[in-house]
Amino acid sequence: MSYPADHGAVFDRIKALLGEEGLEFLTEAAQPAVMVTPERLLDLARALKDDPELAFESLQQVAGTDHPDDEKLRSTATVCSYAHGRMLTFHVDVPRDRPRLPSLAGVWPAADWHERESWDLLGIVYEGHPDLRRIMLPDDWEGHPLRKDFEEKSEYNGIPTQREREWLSWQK
Amino acid sequence: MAEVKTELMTLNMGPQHPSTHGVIRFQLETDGEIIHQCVPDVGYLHRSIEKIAEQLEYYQFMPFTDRVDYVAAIQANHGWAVACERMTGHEVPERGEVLRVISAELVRLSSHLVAVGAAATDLGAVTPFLHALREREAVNDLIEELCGARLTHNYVRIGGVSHDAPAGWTDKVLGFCDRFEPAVDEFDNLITYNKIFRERLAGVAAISPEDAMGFGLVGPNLRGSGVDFDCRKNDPYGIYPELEFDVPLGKGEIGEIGDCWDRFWCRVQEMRECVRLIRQAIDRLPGSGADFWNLKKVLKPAAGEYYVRTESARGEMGYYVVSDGSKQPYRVKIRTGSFAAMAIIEKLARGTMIADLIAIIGSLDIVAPEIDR
Repeated sequence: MSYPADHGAVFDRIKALLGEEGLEFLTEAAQPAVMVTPERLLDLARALKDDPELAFESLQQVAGTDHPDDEKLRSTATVCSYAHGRMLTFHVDVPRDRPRLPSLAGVWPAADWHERESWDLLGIVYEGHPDLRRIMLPDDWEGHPLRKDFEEKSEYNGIPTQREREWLSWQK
Repeated sequence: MAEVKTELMTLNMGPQHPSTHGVIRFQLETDGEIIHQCVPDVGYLHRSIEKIAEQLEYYQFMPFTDRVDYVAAIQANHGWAVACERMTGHEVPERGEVLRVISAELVRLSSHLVAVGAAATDLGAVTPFLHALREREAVNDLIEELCGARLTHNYVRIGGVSHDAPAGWTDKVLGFCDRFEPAVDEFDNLITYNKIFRERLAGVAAISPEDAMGFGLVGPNLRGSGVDFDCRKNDPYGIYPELEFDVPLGKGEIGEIGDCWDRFWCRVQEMRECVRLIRQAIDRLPGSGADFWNLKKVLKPAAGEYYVRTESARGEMGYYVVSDGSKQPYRVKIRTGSFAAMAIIEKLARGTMIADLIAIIGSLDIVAPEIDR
């Protein structure tokens, strides 16, 4: 059951609870997943967690991915149901120039830190997050390094980030 | 009696505190000895491993996974290998699978030795730590003989393992197992059921199963709260479905279910299960000379998004990989056990004593590089 063999049953249950508006079921993907609009994200999350037939009690991760060619950022969450032994992934696409979507921290507390990481490294804004600040990088860091067009500044607070030739010249 | 006037004090714990195992920091607000608020501060060991992954080919990323979890490096290697194999449908020869199980369980056992030994020493009992490290040293010697490295092993390869076991190696492993089993009993007598130690851990910072699941705890931290889940059994990979082992669950034997002692106890019991697995794996090892590494020169998974998980010493280790069909991954996110465990401390520490925080950190088995990556 590395990935739900019965994803059809999960998708049918979601359709029965929420309809299909704002939801797209990627049954042909390598690992079947759900694509959801930011507006329907919280509906989906609450249904996944609270419905006893779905019962996805645990959120495993939230990961952001940058797709500059399509002008979008994608936030992906993976949830797991220990009661039914299933996993499910859902994606939210947001425009790259206005990357805002609701936070899942109110549904699964685990989302708190994962969303902070996603904000820190990709600059995705999770609205309604209790404490959205940088987690890995220093507070005064500029930019979001996991964006594909990120360019490292030559120095950070006076500390060079590149090795300079002169610095290496003693080896010659 | 008149009420004593107290005030809150901000206290900095770490990044160089001896009990924080690596570089993590807590900002405490305390009222005397009682923790009012505890804000974990992480990121001191952030090495942008996920960004590095985007610039390498799938094979080349393997040594970097060592650095994700250097206390159990083979487990991190194994997770990456299994993820890549699932994406491409790559087969692993039987001897490779068996060697993976033997080495992965040896490393799990030695990682748990560090976890339980360090937890004991943080709480003031130095002798059990020395006993634990004596055994870990033996494991390090065995692994060194296998692959030449003692810490960052870089042993597992996509499609197999990098080296075959040298002649006579399995006998040495069996010899170690024979010696190790009584050592666990000794460890139990020395510390697990020691009255002082029990009182430091039992009933402290109990995590309910709902909280454990909601905060995404995994591995012994999740099982300590009585949730029966182990990727090796419930989301199997490799030859694990064909092996017999039990998954110890916290029962609240001494204090409450899911308290620090339950998590500690789960790790000690898991070490016994590791030995069982190693013995079974050695029994099935195909004769030397059998193929152990099925190497494909170029690895190009079909475009798509994959989440593949394995059971590392600190629980579910998930690799979320986005492939665009090229030789390099488009995005890799590594989901680790310590990240979730660190996030729950803020909630657990509220209202406990400062000394209990040390017990909480020790019982959650936090390894700093895993949090920061």
